[in-house]
Amino acid sequence: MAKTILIVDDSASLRQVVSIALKGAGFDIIEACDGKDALSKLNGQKIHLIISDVNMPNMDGITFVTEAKKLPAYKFTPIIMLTTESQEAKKQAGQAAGAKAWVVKPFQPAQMLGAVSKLIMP
Amino acid sequence: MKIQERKGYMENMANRNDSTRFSCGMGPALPIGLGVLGAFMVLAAGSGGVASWALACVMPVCGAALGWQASRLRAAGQAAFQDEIEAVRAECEKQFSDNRIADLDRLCASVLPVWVRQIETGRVQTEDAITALSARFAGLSQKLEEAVEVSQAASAGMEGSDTEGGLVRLIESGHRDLGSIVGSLRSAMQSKETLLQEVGQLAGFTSELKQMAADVANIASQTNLLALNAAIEAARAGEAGRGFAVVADEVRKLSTLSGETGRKISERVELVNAAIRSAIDASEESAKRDGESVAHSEVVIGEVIERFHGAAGRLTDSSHILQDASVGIRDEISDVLVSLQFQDRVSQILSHVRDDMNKLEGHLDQCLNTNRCEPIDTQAWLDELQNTYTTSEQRNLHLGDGGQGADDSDITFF
Repeated sequence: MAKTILIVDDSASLRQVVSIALKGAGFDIIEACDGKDALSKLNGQKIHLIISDVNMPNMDGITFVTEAKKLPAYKFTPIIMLTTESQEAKKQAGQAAGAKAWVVKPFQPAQMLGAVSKLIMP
Repeated sequence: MKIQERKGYMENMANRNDSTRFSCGMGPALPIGLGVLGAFMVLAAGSGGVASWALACVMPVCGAALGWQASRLRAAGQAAFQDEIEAVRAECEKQFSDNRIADLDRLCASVLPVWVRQIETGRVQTEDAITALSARFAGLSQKLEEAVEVSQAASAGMEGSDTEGGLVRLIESGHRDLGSIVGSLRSAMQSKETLLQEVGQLAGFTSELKQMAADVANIASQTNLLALNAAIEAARAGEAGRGFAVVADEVRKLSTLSGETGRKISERVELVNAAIRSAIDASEESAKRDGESVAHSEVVIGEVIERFHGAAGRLTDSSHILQDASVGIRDEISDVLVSLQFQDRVSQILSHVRDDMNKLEGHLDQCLNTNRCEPIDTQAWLDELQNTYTTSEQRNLHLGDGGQGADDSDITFF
């Protein structure tokens, strides 16, 4: 059975790029346009991995990760931050919130697949 | 006072200053000259007494004193006037500067929202277009993926996989089946030939039968002759040989019948022999035609199978070419989609510029609406703007180092 990945990004084109890269590797994809939308989709369904942007309207990625980690069902769900931010302080904030990896945009699909495979097996 | 009026006033004052400077230059000479002229007139009109000489001496001195005093007064007036000019000039420049700043404020307050709308429209249109492009490329990629899968399945079907027979295997299987049919035909022909050989051996038996029939006829002839001699001897014996003569006659009849039977057997054997020969001839002709037909069938089957092999090979090659091309295009589309990620960065950069312009517009609106303008801390403003940046290229541009384009992708695991 294919594993499910939640992609959170306010850029529809970015969501599509990530989605194509991961669907090709056999993952099922759920999309959300910001942190608030993403939280509404964490409704108990099994999600094996979350990929989230940092700078988003309504709810930013760091806040979303912090809130997601408070939910028992997703406490141990690995999270990758996918962002244009490359500042060390921001990375540390992501790590403190509970992210497992930090990917700077633009990314290569192979790199993203490598990061995903390192955290969960396809 | 309007700016133009102020400027005109300044120019007039400057002209006045020049004319005053000119008159001040002539001021001390005139009283002294008048004093000297008055002294000459006193001496000429007077009697040359002491009083005249005293008056003549006092008059230039008074003229000089008067000129000096006038010069002092004029110098003091000129200084005061110069101060007034400077004050007016400063006020004029301040007013001019204030008006210019006010004009600039009004311009910025008017033009900033326009710029913001233009930037936002450009950002949104770019985002919409890139999103639509991404969706279409994603659709193309998906369709190509499906096409490649179908092509790979078809190719595997043609080449044959471990689990299922492909077109090539089907052809090979057909070749084997047709070959077995040809083999069966050849086997049937072999059996037929064996049968013909056996029939041919029958022809040999008929010769023996024919000889046996001739022998029977010969024996019958000799028996007939023997019966005839017995009949003669019976006749010579007279009455005693009458019974024997009957027997000899019967034997002669039997030998005659035996001779006819032998001849009939010989005729029948000849007929059978002719029939066998005819059958053998017909069978040999048929076997020859069958052999040619089987050989021709083998050639045709071989050619057809070869054509099928060729067609299957071309189909397989075509399928491989299509697969390679599809994979190449899919990879190209994937690269295009990666390149389209620039939109996210552009959108963020434009959003930050838009937000900062909105902030400046708000500040100017507050100045114009309240006529009170809080001083702007430029460095604090720039620092605040810098804190909004998300990419290193924005920070580089802010510092005037030039944009370095997108950062190389970087992955950090925690």
